Amino acid sequence: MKRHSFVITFALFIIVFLSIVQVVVSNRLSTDGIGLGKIEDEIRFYKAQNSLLSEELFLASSLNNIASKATNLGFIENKSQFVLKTSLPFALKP
Amino acid sequence: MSWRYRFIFFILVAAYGVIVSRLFYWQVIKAEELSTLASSQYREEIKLLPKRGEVKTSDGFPLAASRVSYLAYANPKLIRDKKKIADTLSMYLSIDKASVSALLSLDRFWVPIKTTIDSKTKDIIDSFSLPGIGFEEQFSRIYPEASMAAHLLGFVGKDSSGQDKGYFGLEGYYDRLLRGKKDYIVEIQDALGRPILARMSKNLRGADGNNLKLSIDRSIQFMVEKKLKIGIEKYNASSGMVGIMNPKTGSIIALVSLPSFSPSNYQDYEENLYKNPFISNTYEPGSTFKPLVMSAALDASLVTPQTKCNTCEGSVFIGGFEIHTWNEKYFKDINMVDVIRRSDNTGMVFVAQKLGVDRMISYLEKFGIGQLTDIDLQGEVAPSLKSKEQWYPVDLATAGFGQGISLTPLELLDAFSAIANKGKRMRPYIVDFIEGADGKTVKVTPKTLSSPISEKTAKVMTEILVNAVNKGEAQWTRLKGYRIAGKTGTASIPVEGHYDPEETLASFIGFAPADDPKFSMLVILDKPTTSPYGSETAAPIFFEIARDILNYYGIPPSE
Repeated sequence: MKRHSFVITFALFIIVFLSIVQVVVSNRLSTDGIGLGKIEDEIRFYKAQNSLLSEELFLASSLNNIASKATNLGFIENKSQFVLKTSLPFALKP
Repeated sequence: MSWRYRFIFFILVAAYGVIVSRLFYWQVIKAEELSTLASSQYREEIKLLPKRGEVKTSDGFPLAASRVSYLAYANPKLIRDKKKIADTLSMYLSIDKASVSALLSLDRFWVPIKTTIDSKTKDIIDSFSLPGIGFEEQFSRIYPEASMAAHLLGFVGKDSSGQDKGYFGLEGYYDRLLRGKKDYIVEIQDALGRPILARMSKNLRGADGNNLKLSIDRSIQFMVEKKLKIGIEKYNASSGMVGIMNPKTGSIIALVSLPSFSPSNYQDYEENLYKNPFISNTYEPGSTFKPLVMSAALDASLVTPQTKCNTCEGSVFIGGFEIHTWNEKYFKDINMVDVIRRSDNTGMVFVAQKLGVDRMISYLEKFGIGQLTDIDLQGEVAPSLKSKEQWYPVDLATAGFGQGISLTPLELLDAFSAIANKGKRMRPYIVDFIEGADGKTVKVTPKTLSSPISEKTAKVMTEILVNAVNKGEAQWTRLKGYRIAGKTGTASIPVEGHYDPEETLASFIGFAPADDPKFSMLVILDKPTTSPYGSETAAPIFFEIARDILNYYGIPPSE
């Protein structure tokens, strides 16, 4: 009789304990959803910012842009070339 | 049993029956409807938009990339003050007020207002919290180098269902690889619409499109576009194109056709500009074809460089047609080296007749003439060679100097590059690497298509072509100090059964350095008016570009 009441008490305790655990976990999960939403918003924001910055970087480093800026700064195409024809154009020993 | 027990039993059975029937109604008859209703309350399907892959040059710079943009839409049924909203939208979206008002008056739940809206504009409109107005994220194409390599890229338009689809060039050829995989995730939400972490469904990866890394060198492509544009203006040509490939691998280094179009505003250009003429237009190549016929005759041991032409003292009559040289100058007993140097048509008739129809067809097939090169671009064509029965004596004669035979510039460049590559013809290709969304990279391996001539013949032909550059009609513009193999071309343009007496197609084909070729190049100018000759128009452009490429590669003069 004593053993039976112990088993019943233990089972009730387990039920109550697990119920409390479920409530706590569910509660935490439901609030984590808000955090998750915020994180996702932030990811979306940074992805958009990254995309915008990449676009600006591509446009700034395009050869079209560099060439037009070089022209505006007065750079011109060098049509002459200087070539060292001999293999050792300088003295090996002083 | 007293009536009371029976009554209670009856009540219980009846209640049980009501419950069972109600459960049956909910779980069987109304099951689907209720299930859908419940789903709509706690789950939301979120579309995973695949980001279209980038197309990058060999230095990793994107010629075409994707950016986040937005589609503005309205639910007219939720909008009360339509005038105020139309005013706001027209002001920030740069659409006229009447068009917005008309859209907002439609009896629909969802009306698209404008696509490709940038995030700044979207944020401004969002700040007004306009009822019934929303935004949908999407990707749109950007081209950081504007119209550079437009014919190579193609463009992204819409298919019949309104979805993005690549057309022409790489966008068309690799559309399925670039577009990625559409998918969605299911998010479980609480009563307030907040996502529940534990029930987030699978998050699919690898939905984005693959990136393409090209063999195109951005600096060379940019330089060639600039030089060709200047050349077209200088020689007053109607159009022009330049193709440069690595003859050892078949990889395309630069491919330019002008006039071109802007892939971001392709709708503003005529449709005939979308095609890449280097792979989609055919032409009669003229004298740039002579090296192929000559190398075929050399390879078949029918002629040697010292063989003398015994029919070259005057014009040649074949099948009722008289064949002249381009300058009406004739050289008795001219040898094969000088036939190429002087671009002597009668000499090439002599060579073609030595070859005969069977060998001519066989060698042209080995050079890939009349066949697709299998380049990885959409829109390649290749008119078939005539069958043996359709070759008349005059056809054989004119084929010797590149008239009466049609091919694409790419076919010619690929065939000619076999001379630069010890007699081996490679498959031309643009995409060097395919980068998967999962980070895996696949390298495209070069492929030998055929070996039309022997290494020994290729070497002899190279020397003949170096001689043609150093002592031929284009010697005035050649690069001193470099050994460059090349050949001029001035082709007549066929018009309705005869050749145009005034307009020509001027070209120059060659490779450098002759002893260890780093590139082969074909330059074509359509109808130049300052001079009809390739030696005076296309050749200077060829050598201008060659000089810059040799400098860029750091190759010093050898002589």
